[in-house]
Amino acid sequence: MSPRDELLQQVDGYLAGTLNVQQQAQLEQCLRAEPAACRMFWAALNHELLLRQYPFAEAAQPRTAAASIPRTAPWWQRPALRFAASAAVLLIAVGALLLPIVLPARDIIARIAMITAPTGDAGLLHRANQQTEPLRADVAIHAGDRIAVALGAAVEIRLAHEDTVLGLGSGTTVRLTQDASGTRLGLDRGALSAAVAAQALGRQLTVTTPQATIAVIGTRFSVTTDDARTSVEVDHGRVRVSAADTTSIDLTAGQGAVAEPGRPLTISWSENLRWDDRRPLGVIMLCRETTSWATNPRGWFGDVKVDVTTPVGLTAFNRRLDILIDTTIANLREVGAQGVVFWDLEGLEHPPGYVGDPRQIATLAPEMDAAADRIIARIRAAGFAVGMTVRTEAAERPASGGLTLRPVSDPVQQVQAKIAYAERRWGATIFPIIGERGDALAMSTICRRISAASPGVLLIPTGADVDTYRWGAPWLNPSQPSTRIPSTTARQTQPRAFGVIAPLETAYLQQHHDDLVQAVKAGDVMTFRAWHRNAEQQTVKAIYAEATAP
Amino acid sequence: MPPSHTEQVQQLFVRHSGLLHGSIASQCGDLVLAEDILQEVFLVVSSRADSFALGTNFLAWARAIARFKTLELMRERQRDRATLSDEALAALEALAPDVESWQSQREALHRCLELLPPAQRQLTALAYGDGLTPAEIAERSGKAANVVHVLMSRVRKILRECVFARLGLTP
Repeated sequence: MSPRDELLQQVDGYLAGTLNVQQQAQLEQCLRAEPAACRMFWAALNHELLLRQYPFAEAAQPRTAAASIPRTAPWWQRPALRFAASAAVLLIAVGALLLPIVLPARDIIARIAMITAPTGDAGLLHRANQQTEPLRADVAIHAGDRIAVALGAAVEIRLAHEDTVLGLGSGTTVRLTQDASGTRLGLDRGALSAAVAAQALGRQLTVTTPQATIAVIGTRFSVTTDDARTSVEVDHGRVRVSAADTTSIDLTAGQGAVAEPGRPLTISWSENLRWDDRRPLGVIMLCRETTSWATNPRGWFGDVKVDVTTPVGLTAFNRRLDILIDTTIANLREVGAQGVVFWDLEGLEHPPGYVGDPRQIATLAPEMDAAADRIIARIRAAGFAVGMTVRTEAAERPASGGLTLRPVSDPVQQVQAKIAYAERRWGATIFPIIGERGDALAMSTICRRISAASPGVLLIPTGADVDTYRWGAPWLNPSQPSTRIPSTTARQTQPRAFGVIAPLETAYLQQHHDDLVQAVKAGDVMTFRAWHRNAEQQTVKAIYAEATAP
Repeated sequence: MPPSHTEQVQQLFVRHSGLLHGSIASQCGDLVLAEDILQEVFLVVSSRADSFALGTNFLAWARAIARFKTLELMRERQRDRATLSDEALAALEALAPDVESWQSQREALHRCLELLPPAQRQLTALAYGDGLTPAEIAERSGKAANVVHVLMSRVRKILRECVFARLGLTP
């Protein structure tokens, strides 16, 4: 064997993992000593990769034509395969050296799903033939394709020929296949929510993760998985979860389960709230609403004299913002707070009020977009957590101007994408959830799914039922009459439940001092206005001192 | 609407994904694992897109990310497969292909596949396009698996020599 062939054999062996120690050493030596060997290595490696990516199917026939051919047609009636059959017959006739391989029909590449609603920079579609393309609306998915959703993005896909909708969350990777028994989703990581239409007799949708298999015949559920565990939650209907050790359980509406190696599969509320820090929280409200001020349309600092339209004005704006952040940090330290939540980071230019979509800060409030990284980094560097409001609706800018809030079919995806953006850009971990949900999903379901996908965040939902306390800390305002469930009620069944108490006027704080001490003792978190010095900060500090005294 | 900065970075990733796949495979010595790592690298590249300045060397930036991600994932998955030393990888990296050479090799492959007799081409498509093993191809064709295996080796060698000849990598 020539040295060249020997080298190629070693490269093949390296990529197949079959080299022995001596062969590995020879390959090492060649590569270190001979540039020609390195070129040969790359050529051999790239040859393998290019072959795996080569569009054989497309070269043989256009995909769209293939998709239109019924699966039941006999292989010799399929135009694209006639050539192969003829070629085989011809080879027999001429007695070629090569074996004539006459095969039954290859599976036709059929569209099994369609991307309907990508958001953000959605991600990539890795075709079964190794080609890669960006995820876009109306792109067809074929059996064997793998979807990789970018961080901060979300994707909705609809299965072909049925009313099943799958929501894929930030950072999810999933491979879709289909056979006679139904559609199979191989979920490598991330979060998947599914509204599954009733499946035809003998068919089911199956989700496989490294730890579990979930079989569905028609329901609404969600799955989250990583390297260590898989959690499943069911909103409607019934699913069967099978762990790697072959044990299985059936889950019905409202139930969840966690599959992880070494632990038995049991029905539970899958993820309870995990946020142990109960120190107070500061809030920052930077704007006055819909001012229509020419030089300060977002209403920053509630000051008509602010000018964000000129370089000089922007310099002054940033200086003032930095001073406000200095004050905020000092106040957070003074009160002993755990962090601070921005309520109106996108400004308040338009009538709907709080935008609750940090992804849009660049277009809605460019001056704050330029400053946000700096000021939030300063707060975090001072040791405080940071949060911001997120809405359940989509904030949209119609051509006629202004801003509208549109309820969406899947508020979980909507909120999740916003949280993922804020987590990624700023390391934000605290999120008041505001907005209308219509009849789409209960707030408890929204919080449950988001906390499963992002277990390290504190969700503060406005409007909540008692179950919401399992996955979030609802926003409470004891100074206003409300039908909201108080945290005291939730703690009767969930001892670690807590709420977040809205900033209260000093007079109310003093009048209800004892009640608030009891609330803090029981675990509730108080908030205060942090962006300027005020009397309520000292009162909150005193309440905490009393509540935490030995 | 023009593509966002992140979209442009992702498009660069798509354009260079074959080369990145190769870099990862050279490091981990496993084409299948390299595909998984490539997915992870895409997520990292997307999340760090803001730190990449368009117009600078994307491949160098992405290869650096891929190198660290490969090390991390190999450590996480406790791979015990023997891999190349840092010295050998450095020698390889110094001669790593660029987009132009990747495209040249792709073009060479295309021409060589066109030159293959239909049966050889179909066999190649089954093995690489459909990912069938020799045993699966044998089952479908009704032939012995070892016969198919020998045949595939022969076709693979013919094809590789054709491509290498076009690239000037002659014996």
